[in-house]
Amino acid sequence: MAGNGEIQWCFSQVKGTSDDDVTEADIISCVEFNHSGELLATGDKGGRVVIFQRDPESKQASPRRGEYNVYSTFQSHEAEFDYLKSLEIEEKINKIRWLKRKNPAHFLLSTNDKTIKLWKVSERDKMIDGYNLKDENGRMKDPTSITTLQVPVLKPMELMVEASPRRIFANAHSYHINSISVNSDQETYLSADDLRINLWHLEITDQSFNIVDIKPTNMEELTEVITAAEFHPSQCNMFVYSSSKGTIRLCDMRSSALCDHHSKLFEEPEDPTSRSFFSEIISSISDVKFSNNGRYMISRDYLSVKVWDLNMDSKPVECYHVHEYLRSKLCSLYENDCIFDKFECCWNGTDSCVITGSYNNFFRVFDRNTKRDVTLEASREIAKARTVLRPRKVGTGGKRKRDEIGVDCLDFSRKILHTAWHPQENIIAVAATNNLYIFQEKL
Amino acid sequence: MKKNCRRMDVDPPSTSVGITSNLKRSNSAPMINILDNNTSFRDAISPSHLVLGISRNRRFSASFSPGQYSPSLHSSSSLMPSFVPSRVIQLKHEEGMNVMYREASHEKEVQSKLQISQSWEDLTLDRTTHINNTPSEPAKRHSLTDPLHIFTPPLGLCSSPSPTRAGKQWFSPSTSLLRTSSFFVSPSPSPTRRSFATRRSQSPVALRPSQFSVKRKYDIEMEQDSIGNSAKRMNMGTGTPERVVITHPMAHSLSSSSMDPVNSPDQTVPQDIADSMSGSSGSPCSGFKSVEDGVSTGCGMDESAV
Repeated sequence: MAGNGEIQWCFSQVKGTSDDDVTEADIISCVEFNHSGELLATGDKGGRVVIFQRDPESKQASPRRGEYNVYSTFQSHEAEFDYLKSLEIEEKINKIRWLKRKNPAHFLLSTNDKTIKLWKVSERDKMIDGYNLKDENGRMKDPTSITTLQVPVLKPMELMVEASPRRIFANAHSYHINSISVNSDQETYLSADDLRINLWHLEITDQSFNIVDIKPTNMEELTEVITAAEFHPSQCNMFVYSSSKGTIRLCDMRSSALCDHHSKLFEEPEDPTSRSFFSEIISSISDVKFSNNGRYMISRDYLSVKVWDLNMDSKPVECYHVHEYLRSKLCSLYENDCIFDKFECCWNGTDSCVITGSYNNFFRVFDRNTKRDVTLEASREIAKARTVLRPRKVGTGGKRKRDEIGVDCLDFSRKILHTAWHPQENIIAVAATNNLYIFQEKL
Repeated sequence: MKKNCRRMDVDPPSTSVGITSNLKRSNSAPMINILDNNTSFRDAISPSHLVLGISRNRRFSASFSPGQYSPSLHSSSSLMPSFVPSRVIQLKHEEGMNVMYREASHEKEVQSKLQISQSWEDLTLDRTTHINNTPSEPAKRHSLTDPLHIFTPPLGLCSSPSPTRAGKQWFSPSTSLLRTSSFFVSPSPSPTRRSFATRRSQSPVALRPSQFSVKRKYDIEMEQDSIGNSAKRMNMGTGTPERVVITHPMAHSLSSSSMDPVNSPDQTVPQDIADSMSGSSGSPCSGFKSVEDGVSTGCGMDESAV
């Protein structure tokens, strides 16, 4: 896998229909590779989870291709109604997190605003044939008609992938769940809503520990909400949570049962000269992710991705601008609500690159080593055989070069909020509204 | 950007005489007249956002002109909500629902105060109390056409959400102080001033088409569609495991390796497993209908969000 040198990305696959009229239920709301990269799960606004599996042929082929086929589809969550508060509970899947593999089955956690479910996805390719008491259709045989005994045998059958809900963790959150994160101990996980973070055990569904509570006694004093939370990838006692005010708090569960007091507070001091009316809104962190090695973390605010060293909380070690040309357009973005979009960000397997999305179906890949970045577009036009993606550029000056697109020509309804990077290879999955694009490194 | 400005003509609170841009307030009455110039009060419900179910509901965020306010504004009063991301405001409003009982009892209290203030016996039109010069002057008789100034106690908390309202609550007494002046009821409607009826009786239900109901319609349509096909059979208990074909839009795939559009092999789910799947009713099957939302999802730069 290439770590140095620039990666050239080319189109591999696109999933979903190409209709211009998008059913809202088909809009993808989360994308997640599992730990081996063999499976890719997507959740949509209709509460469904679709799992793709790496095509084994494409893996063996030379050059290696990154192709995925549908493996399983199931309805994870349904819309509900909270009668007490007269509020609808959307079935939109907010997050999917995979558990590490312990047996032939796959386990994943999926959550909507209120309920988390543990799903078991397993294969069945054998069936039992030759029961003594039951006939082929499953009906009980008349005992008097049985004259001989036979030993049931396993017969191969067509591969079937079954998804069954194993645990349902409900009624623990008053506010909307925005994150879930599985602990490195693979036994517990956290779920975070706007004001609280709960710690669960995967086996226990009727109780959870509240470990963070930032709800003030007087709601009038509420100034910030929790926007994302994640467990450390190797230290089972540490987790971080980010806020709408642009702060990230690292907490250690060993220090106290209630982790309201952070161990470290990561906040970049605001530049007083650049303070504007929108400063606080654009500083709101929409996603935070630990690096695979556990030494760094990235935070995504509206205009940039920042890399933080866990040992240094005074300022980020790196800052990458995603779409700085939008800084002068914040007023309009506030008017059309785009300023509140929650973009996610993602590391690659070796922590050398970071990917995040933008508008106009653009996404950005930053190489931390070479300090180079590229803007690419996920569009149907490039959905041709192994097209190498051409870097896109947004023109800001008066004179626009030939290939550039002007800021005012950007389509703000086509945005890429969710991206995922294969943990071991250079394959990326990019969710563009209702389509899932899979790009791979040109080999 | 300022397309949605709605000017609200409101009386300035009594203490605001002479105040220009200094927004330090000594009482809890809001400075609507000053905010008026540059605020755009959106509709309480932004239909597109609610129907789309976008959690970042900006029901109450008033837009402030950046140049007008200095940071000192935010620190001067704890009552005025300093500008915070929409989710915070949303939570504050939703919290109001939890204290319905408290508000109901408070409302009763305020209602009784209203009634008292409306009864004429309590009115004193003694001008000598208002004029501190020439106390010897006999009280001038007010002409009948003079507007009456009647000062009721601050009606900041006189509303309580109707429990019968479905859907998201769109005003809460504890937070939307900017709206309290709309409850400043003038008992004798003045010809020179607009009177503001309380908006409590308006039910916002009609304003907002519920996405939930839209979705339900979709589900019902799906069920009706599938009567003839195997999806319906899926729910009937028979011994034979029926194979159900589930197609999902994501099954449509365009791969670069094979340039023909590839449909992944249809997912088959045996009937007994399908029963164990949660929410097996209405699960995706046999193609999709586009749901008529009637909602515009575009948010180009030139479009107004409201």
